[in-house]
Amino acid sequence: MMVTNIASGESHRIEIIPVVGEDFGSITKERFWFNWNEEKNNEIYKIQIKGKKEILGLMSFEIIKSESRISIRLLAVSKENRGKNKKYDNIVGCLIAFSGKESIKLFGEWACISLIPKTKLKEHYQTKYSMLKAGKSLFLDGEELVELIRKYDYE
Amino acid sequence: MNDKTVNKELDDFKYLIDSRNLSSKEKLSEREAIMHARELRFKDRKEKDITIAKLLQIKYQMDEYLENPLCNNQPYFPKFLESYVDSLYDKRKNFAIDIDIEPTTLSHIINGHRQPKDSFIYRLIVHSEAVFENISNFDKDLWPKIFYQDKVCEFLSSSEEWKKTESKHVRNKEFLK
Repeated sequence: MMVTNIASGESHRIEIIPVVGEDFGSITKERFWFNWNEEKNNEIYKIQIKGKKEILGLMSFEIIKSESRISIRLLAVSKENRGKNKKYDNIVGCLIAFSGKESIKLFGEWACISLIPKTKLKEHYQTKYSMLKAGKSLFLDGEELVELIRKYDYE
Repeated sequence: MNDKTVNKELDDFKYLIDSRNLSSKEKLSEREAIMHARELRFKDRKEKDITIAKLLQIKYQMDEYLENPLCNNQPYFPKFLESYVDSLYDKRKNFAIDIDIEPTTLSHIINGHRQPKDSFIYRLIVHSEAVFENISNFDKDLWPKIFYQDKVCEFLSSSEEWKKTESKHVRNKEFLK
């Protein structure tokens, strides 16, 4: 998977790996919006450019085995990479695609991911990530999930 | 908050997701809504899409095994091979025909009763590359890496056994003492 430096247009290979104890010092509410200490009982992953230490984004999710589904609980891109002046593009897409890969790895043809966005942003997620509506949630499974992974998981 | 602040916050939330704040009742209702929507979609799922998902599952599991090898006295090459063949063929003998080997040889490899010859692995690579061509990038070395990772695991797990017998034949105890 790659993120793109908006200023230079350069693509950088990324890695998405579990957050470790020492990371909690740098994943502050100021940079990553939420209190990530509250998520310590769930799987938390960080996205970094390979070979670099700066965390570009974080995601925690819950694996719901009985439903063959991964529910994205929290996702945050670092303060410098949000909005119009962001440095790197594709961070959210890479994180969502990663959760899709994990779901396929665990559940194969039954794989599904879901999240609950702000009501006013549902359309944004539907358009940008082809997510489908169900109640307050958006989800992805089947062909659309594979397509999203293909879109972001190339090298 | 004025419109500008609201829009800035909404824009920020394109980069922030918080799905946590649901009551137990809401969680149940969301679960039911997702299940229902998925059931409807699954009915229309094409056979091809199911096969693609199964193949990707095998590929991701193989990648994971190489990243974090589980040395638990269980060879993974036969396990992955079985999943690969069963994802694509109704009858395993048809895969054997496609890669020009005896069906009994395939059966013995899958059951762990026989080691694959190099030619078997070469043909498996050629077959997999063609299958994955339109699905995902596929490392041509993935199968041999899995095969030799199994060997490494087998070697490591038997180290206590061979150390006892083989150390009797080694004399180097005087070095660097």
